[in-house]
Amino acid sequence: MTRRSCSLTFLIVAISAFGMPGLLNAQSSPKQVNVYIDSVMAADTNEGTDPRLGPMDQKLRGLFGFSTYSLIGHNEGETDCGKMIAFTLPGGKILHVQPRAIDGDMIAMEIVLFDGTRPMMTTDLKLKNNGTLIVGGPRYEQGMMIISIGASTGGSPPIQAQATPAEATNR
Amino acid sequence: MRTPGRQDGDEAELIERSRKGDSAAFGVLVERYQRRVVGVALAVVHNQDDAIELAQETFVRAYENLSKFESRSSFSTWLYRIAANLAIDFWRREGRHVVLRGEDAEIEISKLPTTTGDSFKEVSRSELSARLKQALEELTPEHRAVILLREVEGMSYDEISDVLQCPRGTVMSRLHYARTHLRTILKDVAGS
Amino acid sequence: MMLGAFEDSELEPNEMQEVAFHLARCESCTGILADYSTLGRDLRSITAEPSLAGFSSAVIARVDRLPMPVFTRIARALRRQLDSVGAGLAWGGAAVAVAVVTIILMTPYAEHFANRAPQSTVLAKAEPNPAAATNPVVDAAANEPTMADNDSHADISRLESENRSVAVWSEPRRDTTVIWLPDQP
Repeated sequence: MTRRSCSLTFLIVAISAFGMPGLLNAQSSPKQVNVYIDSVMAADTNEGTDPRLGPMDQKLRGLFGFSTYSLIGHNEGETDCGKMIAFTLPGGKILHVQPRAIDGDMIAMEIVLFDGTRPMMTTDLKLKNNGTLIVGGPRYEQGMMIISIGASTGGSPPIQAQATPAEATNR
Repeated sequence: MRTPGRQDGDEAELIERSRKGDSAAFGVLVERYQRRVVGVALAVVHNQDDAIELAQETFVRAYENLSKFESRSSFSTWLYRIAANLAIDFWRREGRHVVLRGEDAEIEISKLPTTTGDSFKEVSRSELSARLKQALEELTPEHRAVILLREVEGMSYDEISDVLQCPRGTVMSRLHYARTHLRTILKDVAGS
Repeated sequence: MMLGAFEDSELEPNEMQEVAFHLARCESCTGILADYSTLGRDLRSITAEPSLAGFSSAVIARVDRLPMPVFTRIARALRRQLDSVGAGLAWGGAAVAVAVVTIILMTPYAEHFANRAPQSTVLAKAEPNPAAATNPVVDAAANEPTMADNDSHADISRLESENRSVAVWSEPRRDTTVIWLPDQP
């Protein structure tokens, strides 16, 4: 074996040995994101708890001071990073969610909320895997609308309403 | 437009030869993309002489940085991104301030009467063109870029998002704002 | 905004259907759509295509005048060295250098260093107390322990809204961030 080919072999072995962990890591990174949307009406009407909300009811009561929370819509879907997924919500609202990248335990995404054709809010954020973003405030019937947006890269979903399969509206 | 990631065999060869210093090979790439690159620069700065100068600078920068181009993405999109960035930087250094801000635009829109497109026909073409050009100048370079890349260059939202390196939702909201603003101006012209 | 996207055929199929159904019943929106179409035509008519005669030769002339990059000079010098000193020594040295660089770039140390570097400018980090609120929100955050700086589970880098008063706050114990957009009076 010539001196040149020995050196070349050493070079190839060195790159393979130290490059493999990085390559494997890149290949195993998840790219699919599951998105969960719960639309809730919050009001001061003392009508009690909507059982369909499940553990979400406790979360909402801890966050806000309303006396009534009712589940008015549930959507879920999955999409790849870089692809937008759209949800039609009650009250003429439309939600666009576009995950952009998965950075460790954080999911970078863009969220746009429309009221009909009018954009109400556009946000770029990084949300923790299985974390929740709540967007609320617009009036809905006798109360206000609260939209719970959860995202996960797999495994167990974030805290969400226990809507029946018939009530889940897929994209 | 080509799907990002795919290149013709000859384009990959031209890029490789250009990397090794073959300026004739690079010349072929310039001929292929010059019109679109000028179009992207023109969409931002809206001045022909400046757009041509910026487009030339785009190709020179691309040549200098060919080693950084990764062949798994589209060469054309990479070029247009360089053009858009150079043009936006140029405009920020040399351009006028924006006259109309977002909130003011929303207030004006709410006062608009509902009319149909027929009112445009009643206005002389030269007056309309002059007012439309002025209205384009009043937009920020980002808003002007999205509306002209869409309407004049015929790019899709995803292509515009790639070139301007902003999310698709931002492209949509900027297009909406630019169209609403320009429509407001033209309604005023038609009304007067 | 949906009308423009409808005109550009950039909506999802179900959204296209919804807008089309709406347009069938709404003269106002149909008028706006017609205006958008006219606007596009007018924009194309006022945007003259500049003459590109001599463009590519001007670019090539500038490219040919560029100074040779330092790296290219070094590469050529190395090539001359390779011929004179001996191929084996040069390859061995290059192999060691590449192995060291690969260790730094491709092992978990690189991830650690990369995670420590800020990747985005956080313009709005959700804080426990609402910035401005005109709604019946319990100030539960006042009874919660102070949120640790590195415990935020949502980094908001950009927030655009027409609302003049927007509140943003976080409840880390509930893994939740809230954006409140009250309806304008």
